[in-house]
Amino acid sequence: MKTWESLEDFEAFVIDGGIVEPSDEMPDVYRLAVFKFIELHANSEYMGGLTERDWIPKAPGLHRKLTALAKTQDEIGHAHLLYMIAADLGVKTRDEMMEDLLAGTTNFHNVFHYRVHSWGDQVAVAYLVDAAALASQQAVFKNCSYGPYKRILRRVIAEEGFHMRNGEELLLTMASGTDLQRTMMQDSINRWWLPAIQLFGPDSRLDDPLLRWNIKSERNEVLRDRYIQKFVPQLLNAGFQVPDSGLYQDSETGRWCTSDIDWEPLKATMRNGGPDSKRRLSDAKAAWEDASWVRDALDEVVISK
Amino acid sequence: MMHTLDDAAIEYLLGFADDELCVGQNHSWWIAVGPFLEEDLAFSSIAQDELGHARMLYEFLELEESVDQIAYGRDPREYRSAHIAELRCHQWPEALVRHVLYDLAEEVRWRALSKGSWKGIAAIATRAIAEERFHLQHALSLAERLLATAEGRKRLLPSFQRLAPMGQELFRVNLDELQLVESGLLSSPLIDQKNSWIKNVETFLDLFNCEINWEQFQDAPGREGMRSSDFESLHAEMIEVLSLDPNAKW
Repeated sequence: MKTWESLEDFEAFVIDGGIVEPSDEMPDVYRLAVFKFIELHANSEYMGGLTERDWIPKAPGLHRKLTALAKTQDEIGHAHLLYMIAADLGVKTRDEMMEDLLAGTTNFHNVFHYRVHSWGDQVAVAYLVDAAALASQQAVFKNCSYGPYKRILRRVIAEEGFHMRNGEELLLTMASGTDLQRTMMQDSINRWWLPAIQLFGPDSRLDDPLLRWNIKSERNEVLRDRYIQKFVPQLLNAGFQVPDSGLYQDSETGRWCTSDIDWEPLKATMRNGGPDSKRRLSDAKAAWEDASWVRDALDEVVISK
Repeated sequence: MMHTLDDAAIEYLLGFADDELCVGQNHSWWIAVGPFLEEDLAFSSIAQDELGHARMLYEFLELEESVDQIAYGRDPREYRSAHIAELRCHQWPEALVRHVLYDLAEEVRWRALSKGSWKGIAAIATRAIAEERFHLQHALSLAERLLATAEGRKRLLPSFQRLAPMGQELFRVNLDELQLVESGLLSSPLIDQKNSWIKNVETFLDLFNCEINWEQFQDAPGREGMRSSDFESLHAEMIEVLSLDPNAKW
């Protein structure tokens, strides 16, 4: 078990690349910040599963159905692992985290406050959203100072890499498909482009403690810009439009520049006021409450043994 | 021994494949809305296995159409699924009970195929049995733990009483079933398989004083091409995207 004399000592340890383990006497501010970060990640993986769930039964063909199921199973599996390491931090139990999420007192990522309206949206989630999530996770993994989180991220990233390739393949299938498919896909890109780039969040605060404590390794705006530079040309090459009337390519640097981002939709999702927040939460809450007898009965069996 | 895909064999294997397709589709509904995350994971993993079995069986039939055309392109009257497989079971106790009954039946059904003399299908069955062991372990251990409580018995036993008689249809075929044993496809007749299954179900339920009225459902409407009322929404969901554009590859 490691201990530190002061917060400054602790910060020096972390900045030096030190890894913090659950048994260490970490400062409370760090414990709480790491906990909240992992809880948000876990909530988002779970809500991501719910977002994709609507279209798994409708996935076109056996192969697509099997890959959609496997992918969503991965997401739920990530939520499962993340909730367990979050619970180990001793701030809340797994059930408490689930209940806070369903009561709307904790958050999940903006992208999962939107509804999947078509198969094209399911593809957009796999192609645009998964890639954005992967870029964020890779940046956390890079210097992550909290040991259990770093170890789980290694697995999460490996699996998300498969999802991203699956997303690319799905998009290219739509791009080379019929008129109906291309129109459907363009509509979906129009719906999901902004939520995807907003997933990185507004510019990081100058004194963001998550950066100082090596939870995040890169600023939000850096990650967002890297994503834009990669995905704008990919979408254009696939024959789609990017839904941003102010988008242009700087003739000197070759870099893609977007219009100013309206952050209001992101803020709305933070208040659970996104387009599908209410349905998403009420469905999840109804399912959780419906099955409370199962959890109670299993607890009873464990106690009576 | 070389096998000949006669009409009885095709009817039987198509029925089995359609059962797997429907159950896999129905299990996949439960992802992210089960009682806790471990159950979401279990149901989605089992759904993938069942859909995988459906695919292997459709492929084995060597029909002219692609697997997707067979799985999703037929008229509802051409499906051969048993009605218990088509049930939506959007109440979790029903979903769990169907899982128990269906997987107990699969254990018997796959064994009869694995011990038959058709090498290709026996290999598929052997592979399926390896996966089914885990399905059954999951279904029985969870049901047993829940049935040990008064609340669990109150929730689950009525579903057992309603669904178990329906399960008998899993051991039916629309054509001469003796042919299935004579040709070597099955190592034991369907009637014997059904009786083993009934015995296994009763042994499990005896622990909880639950009796089943097996007389309640003796028909085989699904095998004869009649779909249950639940099939319509199940099928609509399966083909919703596929039917948007017949020329599209998704």
